[in-house]
Amino acid sequence: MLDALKDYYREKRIHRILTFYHEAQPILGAGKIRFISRDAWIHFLLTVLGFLLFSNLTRFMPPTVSLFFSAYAAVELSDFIMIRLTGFFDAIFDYVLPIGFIALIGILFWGQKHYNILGKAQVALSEYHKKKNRELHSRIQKNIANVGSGENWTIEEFSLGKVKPLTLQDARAACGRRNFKIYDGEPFHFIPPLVLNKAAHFWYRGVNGTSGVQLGPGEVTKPSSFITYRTEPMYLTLCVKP
Amino acid sequence: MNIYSREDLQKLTYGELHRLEDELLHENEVAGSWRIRASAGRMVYFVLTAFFWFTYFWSGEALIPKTEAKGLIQFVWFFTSLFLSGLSTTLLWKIIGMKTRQFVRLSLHYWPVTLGFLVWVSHLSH
Repeated sequence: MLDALKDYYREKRIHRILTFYHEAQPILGAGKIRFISRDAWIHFLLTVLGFLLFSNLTRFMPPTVSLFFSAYAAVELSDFIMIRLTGFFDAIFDYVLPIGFIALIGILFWGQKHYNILGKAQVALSEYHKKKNRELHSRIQKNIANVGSGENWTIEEFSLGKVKPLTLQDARAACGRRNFKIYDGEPFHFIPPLVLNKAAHFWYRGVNGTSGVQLGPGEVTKPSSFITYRTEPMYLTLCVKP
Repeated sequence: MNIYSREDLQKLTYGELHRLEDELLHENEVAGSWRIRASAGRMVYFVLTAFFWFTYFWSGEALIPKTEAKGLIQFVWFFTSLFLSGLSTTLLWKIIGMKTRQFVRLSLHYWPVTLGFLVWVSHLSH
């Protein structure tokens, strides 16, 4: 095992020595001298990506062990890739990307001249946005129609600085007097703005009937979004204009 | 241009290879050209030079008497300290020996491990 490891590092060293003069810049600057080579940048990016990968794969390990193992493995992986795939990266940057870029520009010019592809793409994108908006809008309407039916829980009403318990029936009655509907949603982390703009009262309640806190319309005026900062799932009850 | 073949290198022992690589790197790290680019040893060389230069320049600055010739002395000292800092770094980088140089280079090559170690140590002290 130790011998194999030693051989591995020996081979790496031989490779470094052999490639050193090949990679070193010319003494008199015949050509552009890069302070940090392209390979060094790729190595750096691969190391960062490798670290993210290994630190995720080693989450079962103790954090300190995972940190050092991931860091070491990331560098070794980058070394390995750069030794084995230098030719591949050279080909990508020297041939594939420049030729691909020129080809793309050429196709765009040709397609625009003969088929007006940019105009067609703009129309297609606009259609896609319209379709997406329609989908989102229908989803919101569907949610509003979801009238709640909570039974074993209480909610609290905040009124003039006092907090008092309020049942769902009370909430229904309060909403009904204003000709509003109860919206009792699913566990949520985001409520669409269109629903919020119509909401008159807000109540939180926890799972399994734990009591929540009301956020009145005076406190939440025309919010663009409504996001919980609690980690446990919460239900939101809204009193919504029909 | 490769001056060594793989066969030549494979005949060398582990220690000989180690020394050969160090010679190759050391020669180019202290050279005035940019052939070795921003390699780890080269960066250490720059940082050490900057450190020595600041130390020499500002300590010398404090010793310069406030005379009419102060500006001229500062001008001369600026370049002298720069020369001395380069010399100090070259000497230091030479006398610390092959193993220390390789250790520093490896610490920078395995920078995530070094960074992780620093984070770990700073975390321990809290």
